[in-house]
Amino acid sequence: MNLILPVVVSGIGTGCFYAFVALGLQLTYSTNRMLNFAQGDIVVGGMFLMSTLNVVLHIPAAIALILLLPIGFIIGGLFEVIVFRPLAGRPILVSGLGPVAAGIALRGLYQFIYGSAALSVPPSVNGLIAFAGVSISVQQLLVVIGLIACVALLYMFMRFTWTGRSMRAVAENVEGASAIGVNQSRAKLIAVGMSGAVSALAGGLMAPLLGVTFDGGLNLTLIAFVAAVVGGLDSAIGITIGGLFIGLTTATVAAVGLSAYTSTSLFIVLLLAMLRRPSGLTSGGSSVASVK
Amino acid sequence: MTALVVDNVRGGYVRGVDAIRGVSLEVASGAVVSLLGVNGAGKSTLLRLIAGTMKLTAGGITFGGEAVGKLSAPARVARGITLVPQGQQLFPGMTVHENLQLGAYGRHRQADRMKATMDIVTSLFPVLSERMSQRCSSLSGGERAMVAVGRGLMSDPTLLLLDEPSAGLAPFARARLFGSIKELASTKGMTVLVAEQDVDNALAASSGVYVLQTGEVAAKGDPTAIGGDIFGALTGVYSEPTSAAPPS
Amino acid sequence: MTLNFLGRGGLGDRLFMGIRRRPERLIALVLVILVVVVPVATESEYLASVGGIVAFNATLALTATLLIGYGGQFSFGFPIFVGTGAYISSWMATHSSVPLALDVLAAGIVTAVLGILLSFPALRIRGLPLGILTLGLVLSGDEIFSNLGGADGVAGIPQLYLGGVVVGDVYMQLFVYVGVLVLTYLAVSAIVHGRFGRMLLLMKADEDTALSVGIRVIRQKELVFGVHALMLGILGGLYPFLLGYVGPALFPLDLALDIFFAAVLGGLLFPEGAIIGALIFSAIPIIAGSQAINIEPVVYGALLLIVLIVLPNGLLAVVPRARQKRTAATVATPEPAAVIHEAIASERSAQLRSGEPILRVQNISKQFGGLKALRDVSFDLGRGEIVGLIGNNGAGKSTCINIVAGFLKPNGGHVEFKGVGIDRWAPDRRAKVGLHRTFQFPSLVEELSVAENLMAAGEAMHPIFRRPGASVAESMETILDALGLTAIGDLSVGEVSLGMQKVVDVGRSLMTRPDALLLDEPAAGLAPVELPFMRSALALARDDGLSLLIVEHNVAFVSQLADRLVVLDFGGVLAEGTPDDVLKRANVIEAYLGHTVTAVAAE
Repeated sequence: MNLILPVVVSGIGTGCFYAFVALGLQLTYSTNRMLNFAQGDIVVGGMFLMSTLNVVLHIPAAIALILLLPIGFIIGGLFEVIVFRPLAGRPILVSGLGPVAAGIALRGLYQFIYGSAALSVPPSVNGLIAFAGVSISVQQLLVVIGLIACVALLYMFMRFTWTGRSMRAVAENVEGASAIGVNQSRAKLIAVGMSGAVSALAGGLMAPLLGVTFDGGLNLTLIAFVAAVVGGLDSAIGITIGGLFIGLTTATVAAVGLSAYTSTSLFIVLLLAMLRRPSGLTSGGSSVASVK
Repeated sequence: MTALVVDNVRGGYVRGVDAIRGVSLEVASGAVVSLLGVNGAGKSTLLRLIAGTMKLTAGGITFGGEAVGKLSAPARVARGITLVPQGQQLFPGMTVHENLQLGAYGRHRQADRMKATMDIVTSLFPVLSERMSQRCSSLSGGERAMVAVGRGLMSDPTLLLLDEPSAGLAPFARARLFGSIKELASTKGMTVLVAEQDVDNALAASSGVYVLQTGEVAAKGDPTAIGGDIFGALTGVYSEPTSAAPPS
Repeated sequence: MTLNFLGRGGLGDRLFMGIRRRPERLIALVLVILVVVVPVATESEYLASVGGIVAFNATLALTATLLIGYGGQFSFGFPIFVGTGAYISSWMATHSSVPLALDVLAAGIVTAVLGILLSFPALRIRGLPLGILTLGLVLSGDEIFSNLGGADGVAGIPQLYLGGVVVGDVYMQLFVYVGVLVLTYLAVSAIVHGRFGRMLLLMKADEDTALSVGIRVIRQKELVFGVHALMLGILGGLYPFLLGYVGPALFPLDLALDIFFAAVLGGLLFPEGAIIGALIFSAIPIIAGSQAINIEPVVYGALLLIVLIVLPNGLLAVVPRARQKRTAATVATPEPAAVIHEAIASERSAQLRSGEPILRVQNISKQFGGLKALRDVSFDLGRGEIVGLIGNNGAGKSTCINIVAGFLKPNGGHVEFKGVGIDRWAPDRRAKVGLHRTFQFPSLVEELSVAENLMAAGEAMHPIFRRPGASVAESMETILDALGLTAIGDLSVGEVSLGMQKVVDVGRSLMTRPDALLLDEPAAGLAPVELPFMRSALALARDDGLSLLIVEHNVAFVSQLADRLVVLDFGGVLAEGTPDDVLKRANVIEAYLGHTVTAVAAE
């Protein structure tokens, strides 16, 4: 038990981390059918912003985190207008490269503004919690809580608001959504905006736990992508399970001393997940609110 | 009073050709009019042009005296023009209740109005009341057809466009559906344009008929007058001279 | 300066073929010359090393043009294959006394085998898209290479000797890189501009169509993947000898991204595009970065995005180029009237050639879940006959044709073609014995001209390694002429209307000389003025000895052509006979008007 628990706790912590990033991916994909390969860079943007708001401008952490939401929404909206909308309908390679180019630009921007050295951000809340011989920082707990809160709020939004339901409609059947009078561009804009907000918040919560570097985004995106494939892009629950799986895999691999093969083991997990799921990335019917 | 006037419209541009090539039609307020034609004749395209989900290349559409040809689809839905698309196009992962609810999305979201229209739908399709919390993906073909029409009715439309609504319904249910459409039209003053392959049922409910053939109107009139010429109008094959001239 | 394309010209012609037709060749040539000349002239070792890197990237991008642009297969695997080649050759060089050239060759072969092994499951199992598979592989590549080859890589790699001269300094290395680039370019160019390239484009346009002309799609895809892996392996094999070492950091995911950008922005369908794309888009960050301009990645990223948005087919797609003209370029407007007369004047009371029917459909039934789409359907297609299969929506016509063509398996019943039962045969095998089909929306290759599309179909019928000869070109000209399409022969398919595309599609089928042709709604989507072209095309096919089974909604159209009509209703045969006879029958008329009483509901 003493051997497993730390691994599980660590795995869940890391897993929630990646699930948070993957949540942003899922929001964009379900309504827009676009894969944002710069999602991790938006998360990193949230991290840098947290640093500016909290450290430079001395805004209290709680308020800074709240501010990240509208800022992230705007970043997401910009992505929709500048990257996704002009490339809609293009072959996958082209519409996938668009976000990659945006990621390159973002990374350059971060480097220009913040420099190349890793930034550190103080925790929003200090302290450790110890139980059963394992201790986790409150910050880590905040990440988990943040993820759960986002998933819950999104679920309620998608189920109980008209806008949310209209977005699910677009995700389920575009022609049907047209027939009931949904404004597609508006729905897509909101979806990507929300994905930006979620990612910025994720960055703000995760910043104190990592050194923030301008080029960390690509790696985050790729692992989140693997989590999405493993868990399925159809639901937030699926994404979370995928993220947890990834987190537990990395934690287990590290625990048995095989950290030199972390990526390889993720690849094997990816392979197994794909074989288990013959219909590809989704099992049909994409909606944040649908429970698998 | 003519509610709907379609004036020489062209549209449905797909790979170099307009699917609809100069169609004009009129539907009186509160009337039920059938749009007949074989597959590929352009019925779906015409309905989509009227609903706004496809763009006009030429011509105009007037509804209730207002020119709607240039309006977006959401704007037309807000004005009471609702399309029940071919193949139903339901939201499979969502429940029957949610699908029906969403029918009102573009038009009104008032709770009392929704309750009233929901009552109409459940009295029209009683079996749906038992299926409210079921996912649409688990419904039978006939039940799906009912949800599709129900969703359309939820918007409390003034112009209801139906694209082959009886596909998937058993014969008795089809007859009943058309009976209900006819009744709804007269009690609520709803104008209905229905595209159909099931000619007999459609004619029984309609006061007017238009027959499309490769994007143009091949015949029109009231059901009794058209009579036995329909086969000729549908297929372009005439065994004896008729009053409805085939297009050249 | 205008040189003929089809059937003429040796290597020299093909290389320097009309700059007006392929201006990208001149641009690429100029850029490559600059890459060599500028560093030498300025005596800048720095520029020479940059030139080497850029040439290396260009060579990699060429394989992307082949695999992604022509092969239509999306893979992230470039760094992995290059790395494999590098590690194998350097390992062999440091652990054995095999000469360098063989090390490189071995690296290529092993990498090719690895590639085929990888593509084997990916192409056959639905849940293993090649893109995601290779993405995962590249991400773990760093670890794989570190653990297998050591994190510091392999040291002590011997130097490269070319003709007794050691390739020591940067300039010599530059020459080697550029030399390899030119060789790879010649190879890729020869592949994609010839019949293999046309076949790849045909496969990429639509696999079902490729199957229906007899192309073994999966085999060819594996071949392309293997060839590209071979090239990458050889390139990778050479790499360590130029660098002097090899290590895992050389093969990151970023390399794949650079290659994608180079190929896509240059133009995925032009080998020259890979070169131009790489030279421009690899050089920019390297040179600017060295000048310590910090804002550069932002500008670079924005530039990439803008080019992606504004130039959907890459830089080279917008370079003005002259049309490729065929030899016999009669620009007369087509005269469908004359052609129709001929066709209709010919034997309409088709004297069926004696003998068995060419196609027998016996008691076919097909169920989709609870829905019976076809119930005990039987009919024959006689030799030289045109049979029209009509019926209202949902009658089962498309299902029937899909079963006969081999795209669907029936639940019961048999299909016999030329006396042989073909029930278990895949579409490409049916195509090879003379049973072909067209689709309601033809998938012609948009990037090729009408004439080239016909060529591609004709070539596909000949085994890949044998030259089809001038007969294919001759057939193409004859068919273009007979169908009245000569005037549009040189237009690219994207510029032709759907209706005429469908006529071209019939012509494409004629190129493959089938015995029987299944047509899925040939008249659908045609403008009224285009119908005579289709009618005469089909009549010509019948006059040419083909038997035609036509599924149609346009009853008027098909009844003018058909010898017999078979009417389907709710999945069963309702009536059969001559058009005049069948279309007067009460039950047929009723079927088109819909049923009120005795409808057969879904079980």
